[in-house]
Amino acid sequence: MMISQVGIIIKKHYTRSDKMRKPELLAPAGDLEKLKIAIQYGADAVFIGGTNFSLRARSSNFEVADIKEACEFADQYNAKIYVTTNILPHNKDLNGLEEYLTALKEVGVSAVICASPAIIEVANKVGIEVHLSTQASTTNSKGVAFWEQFGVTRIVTARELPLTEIEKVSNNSNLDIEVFIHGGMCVSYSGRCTLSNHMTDRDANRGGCAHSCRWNYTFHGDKEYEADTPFSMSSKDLNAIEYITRLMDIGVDSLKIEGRMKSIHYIATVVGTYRKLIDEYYETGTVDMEYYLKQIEKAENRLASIGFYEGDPTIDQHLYNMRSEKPTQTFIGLVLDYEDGYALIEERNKFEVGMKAEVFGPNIHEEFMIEEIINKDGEQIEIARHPRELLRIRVPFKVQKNDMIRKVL
Amino acid sequence: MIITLQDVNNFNYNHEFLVGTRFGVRCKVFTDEEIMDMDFSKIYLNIERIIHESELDELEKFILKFKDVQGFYYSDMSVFMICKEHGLLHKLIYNPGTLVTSVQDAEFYLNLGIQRVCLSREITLEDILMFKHLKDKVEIIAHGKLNMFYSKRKLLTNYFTFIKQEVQKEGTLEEEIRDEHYPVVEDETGTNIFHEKSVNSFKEYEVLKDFTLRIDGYLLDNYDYVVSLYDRIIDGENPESIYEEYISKYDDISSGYYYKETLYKK
Repeated sequence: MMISQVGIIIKKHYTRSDKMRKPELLAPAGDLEKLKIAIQYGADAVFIGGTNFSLRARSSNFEVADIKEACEFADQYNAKIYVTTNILPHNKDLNGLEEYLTALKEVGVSAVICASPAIIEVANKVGIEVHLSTQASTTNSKGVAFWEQFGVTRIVTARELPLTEIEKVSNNSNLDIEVFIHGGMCVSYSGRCTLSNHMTDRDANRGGCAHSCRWNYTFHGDKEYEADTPFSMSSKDLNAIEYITRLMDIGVDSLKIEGRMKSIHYIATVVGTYRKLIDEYYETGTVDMEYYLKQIEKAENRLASIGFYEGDPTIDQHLYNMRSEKPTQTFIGLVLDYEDGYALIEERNKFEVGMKAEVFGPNIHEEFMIEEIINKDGEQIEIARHPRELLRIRVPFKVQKNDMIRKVL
Repeated sequence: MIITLQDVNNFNYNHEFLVGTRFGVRCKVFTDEEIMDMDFSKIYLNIERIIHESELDELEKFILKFKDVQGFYYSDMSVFMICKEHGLLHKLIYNPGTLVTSVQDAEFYLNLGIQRVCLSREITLEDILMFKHLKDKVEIIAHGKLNMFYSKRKLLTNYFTFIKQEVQKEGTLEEEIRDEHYPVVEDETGTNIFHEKSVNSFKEYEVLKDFTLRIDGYLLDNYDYVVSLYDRIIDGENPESIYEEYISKYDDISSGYYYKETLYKK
């Protein structure tokens, strides 16, 4: 197989390996709206953070009632909901754990993602499936075998594994293997960092990480040196789209996208792109990678690279003295309804008559010209300038609720 | 008390030693030959590195070669599985740095038959005392520079490559708005960053003495003096006066997280 990092066309028929399987596509969601989009755009499972026992406190907003709604929605699509209970708890943090895990089981959560044996033991008692968090930094098959003894069914491996080692660990292990394919990365071994605790009094391993690793530092050493750029530990996000076919060949069980804080446009674009890629490779053994590279670029993305997939990261995987975000503002609006050739949309970014646009959704990807925009008073306008405004635009083919429209650059 | 071995001359001390090895991390590395010449009844080996699949066979050979030492400090579960296979669980001290934070977690690991667990560094003194019933099966860093970041990435090599300057692998990092210099070291295992000031337990010694205590000499430049101070406390000298003596000579001193709660809620 050819692997390119710069957008070379990969279009080739493959001989599928014996182990090749259709892996689970696992997406993040920071709220119910994002969760529904993730599932509609093709996620087989979604991981969410409850209000307790979860890292990333700012994106862990799901009350048990919300989780129940999430599970009911997921059921309609035959999708699964996983809940992160991945803090490293201090004693007083464990109060109410059994009741909480029992409630999660009762509302239909398929598994919890844990890092602490104290939480794993209670999850086992309650009878809810346990996935081991990447916080445990599992990098080898004996580590997998260790956790197998304690009822864990799946290991989220450390982000530090190159593709070759993912293959070895997967081959030598009995448990399901889940790997990261897209999104933000801890620059340290996950969980082995207390920069935030020391510098901001916020416990990185109990949901308070202040991302101190992304700040600017000056290095002082024995030797003089000249630098216009400060030292930073910032890592580019991960984008492993060119490794998906290999991961499928290896027989990895779950492919995980990160980013519970990301927008619905990001979730839809990233999930939708990976969904199509996985399906296409599974069904045909053929992948036009140029198309997928182009689609994934359309997510309002941060600078991304291949993480550890080819081995230890070099400067190509790091960020120095630059903002990583590259907002594209191409997302025109979310489709709410379609009637008589007009889509009712909620506007997101400025657009105008005469622009080329595309509709993308779980079942559609088609271009058209913006020829007519009508505001809520029924007036035709040339330019739409007000995010969240409800507008009707003429679309010459049928679109559906939750399809998205964006500019074609 | 366990003290990290910085120099073979340290064997003069009447303590047990934690010895850095090629499978260790954040330590002075001693060669297999050097370790072979040491008194196994006095040493534990640091094999705390995160282990990758291709290293498993070599790790197993290493463990069997040195199975008669007092124990192995580990953070990777492969070490546990290898030792289980060879009936060596009683030799193990689990030291994952940040992961053992509750009594339940500590008891879980101890119930597997290992010798000891090391508590995470960011636990308050009040919380540490909740582990009191586990006595010397719980280990605490009493003195030394607390690690606060462990990455597999070669962050200094990459930085100096990026700015096109000669690579430096040891120094300090100063954040833009904080007047602190955090020691940073890059080696084959990756990059580690430490607190600027060393935690000390002179005044806390009395309440902590039933635990296993460790002096971590890595990056300490007053190591011999520090060990001698704890020896004097063990011999009955007043910890307060030892503390006063120390701060009259050094400002490298911190109470770590003993009195600092780092919980964050939305």
